[in-house]
Order: sequence, then structure tokens, then C-alpha cells
Amino acid sequence: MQNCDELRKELAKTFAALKSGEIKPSEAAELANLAGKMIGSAKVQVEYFALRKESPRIKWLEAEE
Amino acid sequence: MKRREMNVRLTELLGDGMRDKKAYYKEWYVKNRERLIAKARAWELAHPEETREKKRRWQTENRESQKQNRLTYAKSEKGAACYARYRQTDAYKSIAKRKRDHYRDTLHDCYVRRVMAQRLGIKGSELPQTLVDAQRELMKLKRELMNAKL
Repeated sequence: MQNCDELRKELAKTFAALKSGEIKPSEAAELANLAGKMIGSAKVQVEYFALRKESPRIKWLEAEE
Repeated sequence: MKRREMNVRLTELLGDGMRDKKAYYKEWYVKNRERLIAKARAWELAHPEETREKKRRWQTENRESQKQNRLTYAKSEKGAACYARYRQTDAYKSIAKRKRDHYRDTLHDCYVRRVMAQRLGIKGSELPQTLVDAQRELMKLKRELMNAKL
């Protein structure tokens, strides 16, 4: 998973798979937990730079062209 | 009657003090205001489709200036007091609640940003859109898991 956009797509896939019953809820919950950690850490990174009044390029947050 | 003849007749009628057409028109309008408004309204009632189209066009052309006017009024002392009074009414409260519920149910950008910024030292508007989109998908997934558990 190279960036946030890919994470979003992966989450959408997981959602669809859960809906159709391809994966178990416990499996989806693990993925959701992991995704939450990744988003949380990115959020903290954004907050850190915003509070330091810096705006560097965070590659992981950039959308695919 | 030709235009020149009309102008001569007009000048005769108006006299020296009223040669200014603008002033004349202003006075004439004040005298005929009610009649003109009634005439315009009658036309509107007779041509509903054209009226709707005209109003829609006007709205599109003046959207920005209308928004600006609303903001200026809201910031003024009178406007702020008026809006504050309006916010106390039950009508406003129910509309606001309906809007909030809609944003929550549809996972609107503003809702997701607000939730994300709850324990952060920055505003929701400062969060990048990609992160907000990812969070929305995560919330959707979590809601589905919650429903599956129930």
C-alpha cells in the first residue's frame, strides 16, 4: 500500500467483500483496525506540521495522478 | 407621431424646469409605480414558464453577489441580532437537526472532518482531502461491522 488513496480503495474493496459475505466480519474488523492506525498516524503527522506552521509534502497523502 | 414631434410636444408639456429626462422619468415613475408593478405582475401570472426561467437566470447571474449581501448583513449588528433571534426558534433548531442528521447519515465531508478533528489541535478544514476520503471509507466499514454484530 503506497498511499492514502490505495488505502481508501482497499477499504472500499473490504466493504464490498464484507457485504457479499466473501470475508468474515472478524477479518474485516482486523483490517479496519489496521487502517484506523494508519489514518491515525497520518493525522498526527498532519497535526504536527500544521502546529509547526510547516507544510511539507507528505508523499503518503498525495492522491494518484 | 414621429420622435421629433414627440420630443417637441414633451418639451412643451414639461416646460423649462423639467427638461431633464431622468428627473422627468423619476417623477413619472413615482406617479405610476403601482400601475407598473401591477402590470409586471399580471405579465408574470400570464407567462409562468418565462417568469420561472427569468428568475432562474437572475439567480444564476447574481448568486455570488447575493451570497456577499447575505454575509455582509449577517456580520452587521442588526443582522447578527436577527440571526441570533432566529437561531433560538424551534423552526431553526429542527432544520439544523435535520441537516446534522443528513450529514451524519451520508458521511458528508463536514461531518467526517469534524469527527477527525475532535481530538486534534487543528481544524477539520486543515485535513487533506485524501485522508478524509480514507476515513469515510473506514467509517462505512465500521458501521457495516456494527450492523453485522447486531
